[in-house]
Parts: sequence; structure tokens; C-alpha cells
Amino acid sequence: MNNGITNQNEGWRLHAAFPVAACIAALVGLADSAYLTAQHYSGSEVPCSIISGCELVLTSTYAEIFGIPTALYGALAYFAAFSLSLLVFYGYKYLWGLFGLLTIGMFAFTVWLLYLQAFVIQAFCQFCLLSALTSTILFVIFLSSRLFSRS
Amino acid sequence: MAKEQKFAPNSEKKTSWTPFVIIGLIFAVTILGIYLITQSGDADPNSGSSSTSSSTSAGSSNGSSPAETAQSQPIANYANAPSGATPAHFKGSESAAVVVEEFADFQCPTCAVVHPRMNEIVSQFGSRIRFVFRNYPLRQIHRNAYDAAVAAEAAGMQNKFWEMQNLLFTNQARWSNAAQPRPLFEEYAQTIGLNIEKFKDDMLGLVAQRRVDLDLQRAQALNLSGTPSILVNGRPVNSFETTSIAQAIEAELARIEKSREAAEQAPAEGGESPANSSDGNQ
Repeated sequence: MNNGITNQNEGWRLHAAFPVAACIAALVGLADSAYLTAQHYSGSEVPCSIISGCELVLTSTYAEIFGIPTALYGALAYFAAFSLSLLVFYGYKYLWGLFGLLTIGMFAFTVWLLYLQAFVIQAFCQFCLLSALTSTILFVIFLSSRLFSRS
Repeated sequence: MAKEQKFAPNSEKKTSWTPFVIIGLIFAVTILGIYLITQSGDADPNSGSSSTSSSTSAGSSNGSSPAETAQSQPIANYANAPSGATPAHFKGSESAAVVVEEFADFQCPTCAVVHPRMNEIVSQFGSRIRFVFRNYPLRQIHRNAYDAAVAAEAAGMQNKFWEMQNLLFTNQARWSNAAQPRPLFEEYAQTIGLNIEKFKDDMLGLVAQRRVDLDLQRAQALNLSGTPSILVNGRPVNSFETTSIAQAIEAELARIEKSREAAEQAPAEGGESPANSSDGNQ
């Protein structure tokens, strides 16, 4: 377990921004998807005032996968992303790769969900778009961290 | 190595339990939040009463999954429910074996999105279906929905129901929150060339309102949980995608064709009539 604790380095302060930014983005995504999960189970009306057709997305066949709300998968993924980035910030550096794999998976899932909204369901849901934004941000954070570390 | 060093964390921040405590807290807060929202949501909606439910609960009554698409079970009392306004507004063939019945609220955003899709369905299936539109204004949550339904019926009294229905859905955002929607409805009536004085009279008269009330009675008797509700020979379609609705219709057409073939192959016993007689009664 000691290998998560590594030497201090001047470059760290700059790079600490990556896990910190990831924590914030993951928290936003977690709040969003947890809210949708709760609304799914309560069956109450989601305030879909910004984009017409939001309810259409939230009641579509894709609102559940294998009987589990799609939002719940999102909540779990964001929670995992938050936990991993926080642990990285606190020294468990080797988890950054796992975080990267997670963000790649989340980003791929996001692309699929966006495709469904645009071409299959033909309606958009603002909460789903917010989640798409946060997962894209997480992916970009990871990509940037890799690019930055190379320079 | 250099790469690793760049990501090396600050050892001063290495407080072994802190991240786990934070993660635990976030987990607890998330679970608590989900629990509280779920509880507050459970308190108000439909415990059997359809008229108070919202559009998002459509298709999820009895806890059923919105993932159910093609052929669900027909609503138990479909055949015995009040017939709704007669004659009903329909498109397609009056004698079609498959009846697609949509219960919609003119102020419901999902209904407005589904509106062009139903038009698509009607063009796709033509005379193979009978598409019936029913009013289901959810007055408790949509203050102008009932008046809009009456406006559509008033237009129907001048044979322009579908024109008004289309205008109401396509201009939904404009009249939905209007304090006085009637002038807007009158404007639409003029647009589609109605006799405006007759339209105003019919809006105030009992005939149009009675038709809306009859549709409402049917919706409530069927215990529909929200709008839109789409029934294919009494079987709820729990997804509002064009393909899902089309699949449900295709499945029903196939089922009828199958039973017709079976009836033709079976020896004529007492001259039972095939297909049509079984529709909606199962």
C-alpha cells in the first residue's frame, strides 16, 4: 500500500489541479445522476422546462438497462470517479490509470447516449446533457493530464 | 520516471484516513439525498388516481418498467370502459382491426413531442389502423389544458378538429402559460378559417365540454397514469419512440393475422368470427 505514497515534487502543485478538477466534475455528475435516480424511483415529475421532450428521454426504453435505471449506473460511475480522483490527490497516484480507464468507458457511454437522444429518441434531456458534459470534462481532464505529463 | 515524479503527490497531504472519510461522507450524503427525494416523491403521486399524475409517470403505473415496449397485456377493463366522446376523432380506417388510441393533454410537453410522431405513424400505417385521439387534460398540473381541449372540440364542431389539434400542439409554448389563453385559441380559430362567432359560442357551450368530459371519464376508467397514454387495441405502449409505437402496431397486426389464419384453418365450428371480434377483449 506504500506505493501510493511517493516523493514530493515541485511539479505536483500544478498537476494537483487534475484530480481536484476531476473531483469537482465528478461531484456535479454525481449530484445530477443521483437526482435522476431518485426521480426515477419516486416516479415524480422531473422539471423539464428548458428542453421540450426531456420527459420523453426519461421515460424511454433506454431509461433502464437490465431493469436498473441508467442514471444509477451514472451515479455509481461518478462516485467511483470521485473516489479515485480523491485518492489520487491524497497520494494513491497509481489509481490515476484506473481513473483514466473509467473516464474512457464513461465517455464512450456518453457518446452512445447522445446518439440515442439525437437519432433514436429524437429528444434531449437537459439533465442527461449535463451528465454528458461532466463525463466529457472528466475524459478531457484525464487526456490533458497525460499530454501534460509528456511535455 | 520523470513522468511518475510529475504525478507524485504531496506527502504532507497523506492523511491516510481523510480521503476514505470524505468518500464515506459523500456516499452517505448521496444515499440520504436519494432517499429523501424518493420519499417526497412517493408522498404525492398517484396511488391509483390517474388524474393527479404527471406526464413523466406515463407508462410506469404499477411500477412497470418503461423498458417494456412491444406487446404488453391489454388493460383489464378496456372493453368495458366508457366509450368516451362519440363519434371519436379518428384518422385511418374506421373498420381497421387495430385501434391506436392516444390520450393526450394539449399542455403536456411530451404530448407535443409525440404529436408529429403520431402523424408519422398515421401516414406509415394508413388504413391498416384506426387512430383515435382522446382528450386527457390534467387540470391539476396544467391550468390551460382543459380550455385547450374544449377549443379543439369546438373546432371539431366545424370539422376542423385536426387543424386545431395541430396548432395547439405546435404553439404549445405560446399559450401554455398565458393568463388568458382564449384570445390565442380564437386567433388559431381564425387561422384555420373557422366561423369565429360560432367557435366562441361553442367554447362556452356544453357540447364541446361534454365531449372532453366523456374522454376524461374513459381515461380515468382505464386508470391511465399520465399523458400521453397510447393504447394499441387496449395494450399500453410504454415507450413514445416512433419505432416502438410502430413495433407495437406491427405486433398487433401480426397477432391478428395469426389468429385469422388459425380460424381459417380450423374447421368451422358454429361460425365463430375471426380476428375482429377478439380485439380489445383479451
